[in-house]
Amino acid sequence: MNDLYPQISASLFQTLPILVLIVAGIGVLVADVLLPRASRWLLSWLSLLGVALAFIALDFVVGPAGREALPLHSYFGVLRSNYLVFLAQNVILAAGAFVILISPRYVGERRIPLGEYYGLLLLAVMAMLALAASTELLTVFLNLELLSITLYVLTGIENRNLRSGEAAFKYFLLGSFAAAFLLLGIAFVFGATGETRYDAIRQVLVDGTAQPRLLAIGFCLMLVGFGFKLSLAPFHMYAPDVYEGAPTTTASLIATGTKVAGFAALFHLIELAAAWSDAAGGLWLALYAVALASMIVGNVGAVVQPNIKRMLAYSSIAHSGYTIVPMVVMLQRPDLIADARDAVAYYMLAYTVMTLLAFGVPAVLGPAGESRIAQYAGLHRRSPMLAFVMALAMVSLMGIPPTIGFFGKFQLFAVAVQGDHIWLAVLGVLASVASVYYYLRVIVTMYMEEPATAGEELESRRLDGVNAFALTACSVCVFLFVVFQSLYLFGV
Amino acid sequence: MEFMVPGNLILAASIFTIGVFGILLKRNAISIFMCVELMFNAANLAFITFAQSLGRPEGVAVFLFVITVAAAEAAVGLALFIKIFNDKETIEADTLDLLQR
Amino acid sequence: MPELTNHHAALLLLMTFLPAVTGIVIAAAVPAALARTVALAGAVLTFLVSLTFVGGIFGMPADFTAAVNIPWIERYNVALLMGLDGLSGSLVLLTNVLIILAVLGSWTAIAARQKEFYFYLLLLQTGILGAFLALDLLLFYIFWEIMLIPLYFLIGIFGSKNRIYATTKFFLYTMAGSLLMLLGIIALYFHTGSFALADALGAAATLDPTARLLIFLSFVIAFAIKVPLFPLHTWLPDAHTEAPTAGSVVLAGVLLKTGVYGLLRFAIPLFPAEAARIAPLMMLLAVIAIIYGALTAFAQRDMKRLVAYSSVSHMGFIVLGVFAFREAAITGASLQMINHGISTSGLFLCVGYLYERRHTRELAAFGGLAHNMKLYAVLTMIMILSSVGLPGLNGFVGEFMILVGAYPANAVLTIIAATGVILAACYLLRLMQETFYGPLDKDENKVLRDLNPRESFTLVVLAVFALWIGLYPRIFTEPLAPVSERIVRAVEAAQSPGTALADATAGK
Repeated sequence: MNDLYPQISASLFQTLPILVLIVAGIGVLVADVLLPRASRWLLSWLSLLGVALAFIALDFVVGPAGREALPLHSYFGVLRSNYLVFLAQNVILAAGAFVILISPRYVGERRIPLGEYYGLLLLAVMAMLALAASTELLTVFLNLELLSITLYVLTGIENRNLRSGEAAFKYFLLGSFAAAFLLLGIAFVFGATGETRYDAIRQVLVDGTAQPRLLAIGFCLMLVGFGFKLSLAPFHMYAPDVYEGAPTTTASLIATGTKVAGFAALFHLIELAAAWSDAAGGLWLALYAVALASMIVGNVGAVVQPNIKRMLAYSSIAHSGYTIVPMVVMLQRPDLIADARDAVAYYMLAYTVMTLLAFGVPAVLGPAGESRIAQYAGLHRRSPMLAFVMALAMVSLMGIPPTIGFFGKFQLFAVAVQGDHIWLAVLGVLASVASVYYYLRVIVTMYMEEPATAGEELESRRLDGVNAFALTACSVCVFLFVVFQSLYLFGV
Repeated sequence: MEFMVPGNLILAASIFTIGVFGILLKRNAISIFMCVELMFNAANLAFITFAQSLGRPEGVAVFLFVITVAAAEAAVGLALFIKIFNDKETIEADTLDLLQR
Repeated sequence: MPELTNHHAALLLLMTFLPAVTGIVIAAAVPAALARTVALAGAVLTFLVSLTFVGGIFGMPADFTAAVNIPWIERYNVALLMGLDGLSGSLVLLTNVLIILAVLGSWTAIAARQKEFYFYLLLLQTGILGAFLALDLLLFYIFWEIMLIPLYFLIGIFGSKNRIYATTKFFLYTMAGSLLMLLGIIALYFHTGSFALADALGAAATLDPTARLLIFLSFVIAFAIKVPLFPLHTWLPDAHTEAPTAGSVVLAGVLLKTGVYGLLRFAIPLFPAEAARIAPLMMLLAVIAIIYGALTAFAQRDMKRLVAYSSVSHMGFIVLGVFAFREAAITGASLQMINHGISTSGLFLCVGYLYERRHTRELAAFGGLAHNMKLYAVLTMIMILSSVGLPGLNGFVGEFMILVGAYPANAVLTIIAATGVILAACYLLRLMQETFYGPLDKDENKVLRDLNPRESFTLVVLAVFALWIGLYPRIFTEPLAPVSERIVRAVEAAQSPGTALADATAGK
């Protein structure tokens, strides 16, 4: 027992950010009960404090992986820390902070119960941090489920809104359906290799003693489970409904943090699969098809959506498709894993920044900008700053330089070209051209159209300081790359 | 090495398939959720089978965790169904069509 | 590629980014009433800065007399690598002059949302200048794309009735081409390990032939859309017709030239053998564009659309000259870029001034304007004659050089192209006749006032240049010649590797 103690204490130290968030989440739930009704507004600041502490713990107490000879694994290989995980966790925390900052007014107007909202938000962020680092089959499943369950509640939390309940209902049923696939996939991978830790599985794969057929089925079933969480086509059906029905603040977290965590976890899985020589065949084809289908379904679907949140949902499906392009490449070219990792990591950051902006504007506008794109007519006059921010988000999502969206996409396609997957890159590029059409539509509506009738024009809103701060900070991030020469801010 | 497919695994696969078809065919939320539970338990069966045949205890551990997770999920799901039922007096999935308009 | 020298680096950066900074200042801090004044000040200042390069442009046109080399993205070896030689220098000067004229031309035409207008216009200027100056492929691509957004807004917000259709079409066309070019640039990078043009020039020849052809095509398609070359030209008439005057001036004056410039600076020097291979096709398309553009222009009833199609025709001449791969033809094509920038921008200004007074551009609405708008008639006539290619004016010199140079390359096509000159005379003189001659029979036209000093100034500047180039072209062709010479030598070397080898041995 005695020699286990240092390992466990080191692991506890390494997972400090996660522990901080657990404490904060439960703390908020308790504070909700203890605080008098009049001072419940403190809860948002309390949860922001929780995220800030987790951020400090992550960046300044624990620090980037590999520093000061910290072990790269904690809890005996169950969680991993590396550059990708570190960046993903930072991005997730930033997304969490952004969502908390834009929430207060939104939550107040919708009469969403504060304690549950902020408490579950923190626990969801915690689950994302853990999922991003998970490198053990059961841990992946548990974190994914923890994340899902909190998100089901956060989606349906708007008591008076039937749409919110309906979205949660659909999310719940399809989510647990997909979780069952993931679980069976895990069972097969376990059955094929006899191991649950990635490092042990890798050894089995390298030795070639795994059951190839079971393993292939297992990986593909797991891909279904992840495909659902990442809203990759053809497992995307729930996404538009959920994004539309969920409170916009929740939707922004589902679209960003969940995906970042899911991509990090999927990356580790694919990295593992790349160690298996047979993976370049069937699994590669499956992943290729999923990437392609997502780019096509997302971009085609988005064109016809009159609803802003549904449009963003389809756009996020397309962006998920772009993001797995490097993973497709690295299944066949394990020598490019490092490049693929950097590209995925950077795109997660880019995608999160621009998606948060794109969801932040509807969230701040509230009822005046949450449903139809047509509501944005003449926004440049009513709220120039919000219109500018939204335009910036659209331009970045299109991938126009010098925004972060361009540099992100540039690296994704660079990996594809480097790995001789020219066609994948060409198809991705054509998909991005198609995407220009619907992103431009938002800009056209905001800047070049006036409301058709007087009733069409909804009240203009003043930005409160907190919202303005969150949106400004995020907008600055869109140009982050131009100023910082090195992408790899955390240089590991 | 040749891998013998144990009978249990075939049973697990069958139960899982029944669950999948049930979800695709049923319209009542409770029935759908029962099918999901069926799928979970099929996976559990697979875990125990593998644990047995490989002589690894992890499979049993996973099984215990999954039962717990499924219970937590059921709690959230049933609460959700009750909320929907209170609003709409039904939990047929087809009647939920507010979105996508 | 000559060595990069590092004189004037700060001035070069200042000139490139001054417009954008001015634009941001206007958008953020200047009251709407002052926007145009500040914009004019910014544009004039930019022009004055660019005057410091004149010595280098005309004195040592073969060298990059002003250059910047600042590492930027270390991971991908991208640098802020910009340089100015005779070709890019001439186009930079053209850009800076035209932007001043565009600001003056919009002085009263743009009444609403002025801050936004000048912000986009000046941002566009930075994009164009950057594209002309960049010597790093990724940097070039970035500036190339930066040009899109401001022009998109200029047309979409300030254009006429059908503006949203036109601007979306423009955006989609250009974006499709340029993203494919991005893939080509990336592919080239993984072969050479650097985005710098100088590195790529040496390494491109060692690529395997299929890759070379594909990358070359990705460049050519992007540039051909921008030029625009038949059959990729359909966005241009729409964009021109709907754009505000300043938008048309910049679009016709310099934006289209970025396409030709891209061919001359990047596509052809990188892949001379492939360029030679597709030259017959490109010349054929160019001639089709010349004839098709001219005939379509003849059928237009809208003045602006007429000028827009004349643009398609004129750009056809330029492409014909480029792909003839004769020194005279390429120099002529480069000069014709400047000529076209002068005459077509002038025509768009003329149409814009008339539209501001009369709010229509239908040819049928006018007639006899020479009676009451004498100054306007004279200046427009100079612009039309310059565009027609009357000897003594600039258009003649360029077209003559192109035709003389292209004749040995392909006599039949050159002869057909020459008929385009005649057709140009037909449709442009019809424009003049229907607008200025005949009786002044419409009451609305009788009250039109002549040009005010500001408006005449813009046209007089252009007319002076048109005459100057027409009478003494040598001074303008000298900065352009070295680049054409280099291209011709590269293409010749690529076509006959044996000779190149012999030259190299002899050189030793």
